[in-house]
Amino acid sequence: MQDAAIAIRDDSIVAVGSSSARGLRLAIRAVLVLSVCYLSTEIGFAHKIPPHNISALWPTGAILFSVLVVTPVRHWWVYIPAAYFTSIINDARAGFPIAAMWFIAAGVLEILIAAFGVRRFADGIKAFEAPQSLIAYLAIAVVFAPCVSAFLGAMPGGAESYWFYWRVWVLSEALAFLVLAPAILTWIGVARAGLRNISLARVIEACLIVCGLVAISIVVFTKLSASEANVPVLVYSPLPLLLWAAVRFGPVGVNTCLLIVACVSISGAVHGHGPFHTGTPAEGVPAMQLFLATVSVPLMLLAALFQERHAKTNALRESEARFRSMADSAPVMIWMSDDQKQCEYFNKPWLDFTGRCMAEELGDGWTAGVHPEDLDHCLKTYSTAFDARKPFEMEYRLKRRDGEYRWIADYGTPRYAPDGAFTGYIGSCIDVTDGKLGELQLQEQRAELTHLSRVAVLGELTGALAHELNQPLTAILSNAQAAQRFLSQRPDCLSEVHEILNDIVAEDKRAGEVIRRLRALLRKGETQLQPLDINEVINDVLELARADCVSREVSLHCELAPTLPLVLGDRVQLQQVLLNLVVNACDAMSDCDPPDRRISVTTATDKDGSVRITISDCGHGIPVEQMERLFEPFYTTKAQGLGLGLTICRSIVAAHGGKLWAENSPGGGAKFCMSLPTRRGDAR
Amino acid sequence: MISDFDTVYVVDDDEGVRKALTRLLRAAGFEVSCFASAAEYLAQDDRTRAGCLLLDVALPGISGLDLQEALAATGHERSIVFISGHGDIPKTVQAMKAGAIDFLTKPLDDEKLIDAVRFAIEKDHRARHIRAQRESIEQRLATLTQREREVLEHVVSGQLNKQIAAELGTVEKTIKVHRGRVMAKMGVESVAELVRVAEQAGVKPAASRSSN
Repeated sequence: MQDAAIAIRDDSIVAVGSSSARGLRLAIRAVLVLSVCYLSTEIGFAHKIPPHNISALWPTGAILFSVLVVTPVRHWWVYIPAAYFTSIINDARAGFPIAAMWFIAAGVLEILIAAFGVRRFADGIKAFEAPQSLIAYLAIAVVFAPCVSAFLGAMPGGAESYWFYWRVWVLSEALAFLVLAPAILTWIGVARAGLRNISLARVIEACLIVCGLVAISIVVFTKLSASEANVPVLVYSPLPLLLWAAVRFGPVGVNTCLLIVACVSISGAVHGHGPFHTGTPAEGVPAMQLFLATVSVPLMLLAALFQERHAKTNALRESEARFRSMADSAPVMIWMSDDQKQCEYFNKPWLDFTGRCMAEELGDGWTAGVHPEDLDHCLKTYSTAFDARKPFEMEYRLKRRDGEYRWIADYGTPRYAPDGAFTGYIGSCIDVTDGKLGELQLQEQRAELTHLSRVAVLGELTGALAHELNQPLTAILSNAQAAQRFLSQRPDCLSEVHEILNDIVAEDKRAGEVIRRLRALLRKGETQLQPLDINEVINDVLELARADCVSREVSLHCELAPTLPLVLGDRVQLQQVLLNLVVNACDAMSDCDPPDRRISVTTATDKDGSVRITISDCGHGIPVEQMERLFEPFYTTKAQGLGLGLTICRSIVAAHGGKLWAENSPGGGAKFCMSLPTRRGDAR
Repeated sequence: MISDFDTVYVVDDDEGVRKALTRLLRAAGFEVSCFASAAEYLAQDDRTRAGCLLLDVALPGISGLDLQEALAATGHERSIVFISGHGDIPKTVQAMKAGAIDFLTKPLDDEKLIDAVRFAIEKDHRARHIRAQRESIEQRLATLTQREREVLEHVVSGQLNKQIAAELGTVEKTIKVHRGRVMAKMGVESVAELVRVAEQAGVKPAASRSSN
């Protein structure tokens, strides 16, 4: 089919020229076919074996078949008469005997079946390049077409010798399709592809095979007498050379060599020489035909196998080369590793980037370019993903050829062979330094803003916090002064003073604790993720907010789940969120009656394993239309407020992989819920 | 006047502060009684016992100022020294207007605290003494008859017996007898003393019709 398509394309190119040029070209071809067939018919007649005028190999059919396989169907009407011209002339001279008409009819039928079948099912001209198409070719052209046409061709033999003629027909036609047609078709293929890049050594090798084969065949099939040649081994003496041809030259070599052997052996048989000239030619010829068939089929299969493997290897090499050139021209850096985590390939952009050669980068060599601070994380990510056969994404700094470390985003994916076997990883990297710097700047600004908002919240608590600090200071001072008095009144009251000093130490620590909490919240620092017990975080925050709540006459109620899974988070930031929410809750209740000013803080584990923190107040709730706007930047319901508190809270919670949202409680008042993923639920 | 066992009632929600103040006040010779909240104090308030209140302004639940108000409403004017974490001027003014002795800021200086407490207790004593005197005069006043009361009011207004007799439509001798009984019942020996006691008890002088 593919070939037909090529033929049609050829034709359409021709169609660009004038129609007369096209006609001329067709006419020339027809004349060529006519002359070749004239010659072959004459040769065929000359090699008929008496007494039945059996032809060992009828060449004309095979030639016409080859022509039909490689030419467009719509030109067949020219080639078929051209091929049969000689026969028809001969028959006309003989007065058109009935038998000749049967022969022509049977021949045309056979050729049509074979040509259609081979074009349709056996890849046309490429029939000899793969075992499957070769088997289809053999089944259609060598077995099916001769057998079917033989029913017509044997008609002139009459009833008594019908099956004799049937068999003669089948064998002679089959041999032609087996030996001659393949040689013609493969040579047409060679001619079409052009004989380029053929080395002299190969030409000499081909000549050696052909010469050797011709010599051996002549000796075995024509020079030796029947008795001398009756040693079976001798018949197979061309085999080594045929094998050589099959292995080294593929279908074209084997088909050519088989044709040579066939020609020489037929010639021997016809002239009464060689191993097949045992009795009458009628007995010797089928033996020879069978010999040729048994030798040809395996050799052709062998050649087809080699050809197929060769083609596959070529295709693989081509695809590999295509991949390399694509990888090298891609605007990204590409690497590949084998199934042992060792890198086995880096594309040109990578090597250009690092300024190192492939040999330096292979295996673990590439790690030398990774920034020492990023190396652990980089190898861990790679190794973990690799062992799980999962795609991964990571960022690290890689040293550029000029010595500057650039941020690289690396995306890796596992590779699998067609049979599903894991073969390693392939990854692509891009330089994201510029984007990364922007991101860092953004992060810095966000941290600054977060810190400012924290300071603002603490600012609101200053009064309450001063009170909180004053309490232990009061206790310390009064204790100390009490001790002074005791000592001046009764110098022997050491046990009393001892107790007082203990209390002073405890109170001092308490004051220190308040300052610690404050300082922690006022501290400017990078995000530090650590496993946290969220209840502890809440208790710390409530300690800070307690005094403020007292002065605002707000009561605090806690329902903390006794055991909570740990949350991976930044203590200060989470405290900031909670503090913000508590202060907001206090603000929301400023116009309520003091006994109604209640805040409740609860913690619980959600079904999905995350920790849920709820802070509810007993204020007037949140109007529905404000519910989502609350989290928008610069949206505020307070007279004094930037409107960033909740925005920052939400971004902090989101950075922890959690969610923060507001609801109205069924019993009135608002509640803010925060859900945070726990370490267990977190794959990393 | 101050006994060694005058009680200072300390109301503060902070245990550490309560403990320290207790020690300090005990070292200064006071009896101390502590309460963690206003409610706790109200439940155990014994107005017959002398002493002063050392009261934190910011208390959970009922605040210090609320307690001051609640006590005033029941007519129980305990003298109060406020203590506070921060000098909140509006609250200070409110407390002082309502009769607080002092408003001290934490941390507390022992001298100032003890002076304030001492002053408060003295005031408490004084108030108790005055109240006791007034109560005894009132008790004595209550024993006077209607006529004797009228005579007293006229005496206090500075009228002579003759004038009183004219006012009340009787003779001078009768007034003399009444006056003698009044002085005996009120336990005084001179008219001057009688006038002072009557003033203390808030007896109003009778309006004279013939003063001019």
